[in-house]
Amino acid sequence: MHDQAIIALFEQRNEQAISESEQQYGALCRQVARDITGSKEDAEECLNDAMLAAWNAIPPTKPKNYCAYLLRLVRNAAYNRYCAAHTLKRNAANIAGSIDELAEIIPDRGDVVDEVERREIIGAINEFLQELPQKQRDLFVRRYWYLSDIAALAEMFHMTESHVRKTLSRLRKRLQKYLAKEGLL
Amino acid sequence: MNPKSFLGLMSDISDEYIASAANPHSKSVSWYQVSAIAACIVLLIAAAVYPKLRMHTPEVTEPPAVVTETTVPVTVPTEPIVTTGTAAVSAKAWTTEAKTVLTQTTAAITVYTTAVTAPEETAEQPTETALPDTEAPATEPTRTERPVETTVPKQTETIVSTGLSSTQTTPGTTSAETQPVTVPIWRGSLYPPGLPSDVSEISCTFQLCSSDISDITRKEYGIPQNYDLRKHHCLLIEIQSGYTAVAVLGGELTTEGLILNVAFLDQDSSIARVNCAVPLPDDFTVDPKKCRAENVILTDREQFQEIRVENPVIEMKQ
Repeated sequence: MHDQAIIALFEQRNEQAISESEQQYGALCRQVARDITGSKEDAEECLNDAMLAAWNAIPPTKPKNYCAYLLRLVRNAAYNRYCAAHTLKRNAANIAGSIDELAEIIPDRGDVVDEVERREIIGAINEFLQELPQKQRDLFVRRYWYLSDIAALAEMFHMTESHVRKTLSRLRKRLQKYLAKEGLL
Repeated sequence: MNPKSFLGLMSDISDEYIASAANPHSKSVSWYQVSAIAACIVLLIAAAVYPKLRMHTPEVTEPPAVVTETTVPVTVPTEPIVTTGTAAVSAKAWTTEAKTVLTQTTAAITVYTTAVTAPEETAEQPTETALPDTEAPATEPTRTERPVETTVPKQTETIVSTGLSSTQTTPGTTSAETQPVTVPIWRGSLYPPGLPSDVSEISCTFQLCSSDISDITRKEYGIPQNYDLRKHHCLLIEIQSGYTAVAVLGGELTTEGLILNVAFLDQDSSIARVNCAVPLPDDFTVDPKKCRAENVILTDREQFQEIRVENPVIEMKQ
């Protein structure tokens, strides 16, 4: 079923919208949540939380890209659960690994990001990603948004793990230069 | 900002990048896909080019099928074809000689006809038709066509044998075992009117083919459509007789000219005729004046069927 049809079901308050969303994007959402939380049970709860959030938001919200919207809800739910728990489970090593990698370029100043700076950083990240080639952009987003592990990325992009690490390292350095140029670091 | 908050900020990047990274497999083209695409392109190019390459290859020059004899009576000829001599009613080989005559048309074409001379042993004295006095010096054969009238020939007995094929052949074919080079004999499928109804003698005319003949003339002499007369030469042969059937048995082409072997069946009065053409090798010049027919006349149909050749050819001898 098309995304617009699913949104129409939400607007009609038809509960079939949930089942259709589950059928269309359930596997991907669970994977994203599992990569962050490291737990299958937690990932299931994150998916349920995301579906509830979508049901409550649509309408009046009418997302242009329902897939990205739903994935964002799942990611936020999973990430919040991770931050609240402060626990690193076996399969959550990738999120810790991502944090360690970003720590190379973003010092831990510990200060709070205000709304203005937040918008500027998000804008800068979007501009940085726009300049990247398709494959490198997908790789960066896959690593730092989906929080996929290195092995999964290597299989997904038909690369070796070493090549994935080197590519991500170059992208981080490039991001660092960009943020520094924008005065955000 | 710290790495953890940065990861939180990453949550708000553009939807387009999130959706794009959701299915990266669909965008990556693996090497085997590229190889398969390249192989398909190569096959398409080969399929397009191969037929054109085949057309340039000389085709197999197998001897064509035997001449199909038909007896077709015709109306009065529009152009007088001067023939001399009569036919002897015996199984004798007749040698004909070529003579140069002018037609009554103003066109500067030279038609070489054969005159049949009666042998001494024949029972009846042949009556010879004198040649016209308007004998003119031979001129170079020019390219003219005979006008074709649309008259319906009267049906007579037809002896059908395996016909000649009109396939294009390259002059100068060598068989697998024999050294002499052979060329096929094409047989025409149309007969223009113009033959007298009371033809009682054998007439065999040779002429070089013009390069700009019509399609009808091509069919008359069995010249394939794809035989380029601008590049190659062709010898036209027209055989007419007052016999039941005629069959071309083959022949020999030398620098002295063409010697055509022809057989006739004499059982009842009729008009047997055949038009045929012989493709000439490019390095072979033929003087129609030096061409002649060696005729055999048989009265027994079975003997006639026996000596008929399935695929008559002309042997080339330098």
